[in-house]
Amino acid sequence: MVELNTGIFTLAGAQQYLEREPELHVDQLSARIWTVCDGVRRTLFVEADSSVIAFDTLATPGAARAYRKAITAAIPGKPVQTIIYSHDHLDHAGFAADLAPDADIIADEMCAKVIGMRKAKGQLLPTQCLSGKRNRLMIDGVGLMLLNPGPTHGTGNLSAYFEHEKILFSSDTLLPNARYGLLPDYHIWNLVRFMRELQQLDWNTFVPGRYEVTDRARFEKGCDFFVAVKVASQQAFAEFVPIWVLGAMEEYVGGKLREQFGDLDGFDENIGLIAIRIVHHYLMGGWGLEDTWNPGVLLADSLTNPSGA
Amino acid sequence: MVDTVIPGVGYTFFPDWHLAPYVPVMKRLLSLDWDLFVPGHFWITDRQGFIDNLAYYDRMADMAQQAIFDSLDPHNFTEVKKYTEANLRGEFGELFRFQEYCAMNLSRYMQHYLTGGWGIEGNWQPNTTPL
Repeated sequence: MVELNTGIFTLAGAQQYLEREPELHVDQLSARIWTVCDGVRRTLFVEADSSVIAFDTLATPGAARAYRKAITAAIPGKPVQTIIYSHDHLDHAGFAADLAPDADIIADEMCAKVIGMRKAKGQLLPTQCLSGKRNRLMIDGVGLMLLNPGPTHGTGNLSAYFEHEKILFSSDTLLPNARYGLLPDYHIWNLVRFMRELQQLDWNTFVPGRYEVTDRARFEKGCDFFVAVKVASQQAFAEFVPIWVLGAMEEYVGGKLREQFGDLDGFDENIGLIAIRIVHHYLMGGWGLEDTWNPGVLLADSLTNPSGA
Repeated sequence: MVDTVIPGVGYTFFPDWHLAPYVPVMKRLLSLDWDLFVPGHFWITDRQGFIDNLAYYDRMADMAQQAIFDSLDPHNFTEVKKYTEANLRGEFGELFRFQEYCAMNLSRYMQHYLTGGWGIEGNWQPNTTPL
């Protein structure tokens, strides 16, 4: 009997949740690039000369198997030989063991180091690690660029740029809506600065890690939204808003931003949570090395790479 | 010790807390001989208050996993509040700021299990031997 890959769950009873194969929706974006979505999380796969390059694995072992079936249906006869981790989180890159256990796995070096420490069941170590901001790769006849401008969300977050198709993929950074919730593992200090570096590239289609495919205009609006929440959150201190009260932050920041950003899907349900997260960035000064002006430099050399890749 | 054990439920969404190593590392402090614990916010507590507070985190870790298995979406805060009310008020409803923060606590813990912990600090394998 094959052991179930359980990520970091410790509680009994995970089997039904982990094994369920969700219905996936697949769309073809170009001659060789497809996008797949489980209803919330989204990723990409690419047809190479003799194989398939899959970004991420989706969120559970069941979802990873459904992902593999969706790839086979779209591109019959070509195996997944390469997986590229967009970042370290299990809900995107946790289950390569169920998607394609023998594939080569490419990730940023810091992503690999976190995965090595985590030792989650099902999350395979990368076999090839990248460093630096920009890596141009040729994989089985497919040319693409993997970019890590700096800490945005999670650890070692790689965006993929397909120059010929004018497509940018960036997982769990900007969304086409306001459904950010409590902004889990977002690095507030530098997010917009680094996303605007990606905006400088020549692309028309933006594929986020959640929800629908979008365009430059909504990418730009996403940047503007973050800047506006950061400004309003700082104003909340000046106006003695009780920043530790969710309802107060929702009313204050929501009131200031609704006219400009109220059309973003999920604005009313999420603005209080987003605001209370961001106001604590200013209260505390940011979290750890990722939230500094020169992020990541110290940790990059202080840990060994567990895969040796 | 500042911004670790604080009377009541956890503060908002546990900002900059490192959830995986937090409880085992805090329990190392129990190897020292002390009677009073001075937190970084609110009231001084005692040894039992310290132990009870850490037990809340352990319970939240279990509840977060169960909530995921029950198909609760941590981003649907209306549903997270309902789930918290139905499943945690009986056990923790008397704690300071339960109504304000417990649902945010649960959502944050759910994100921990879904994502796998955050960064180096959230995945560190801590030393848990007595101090």
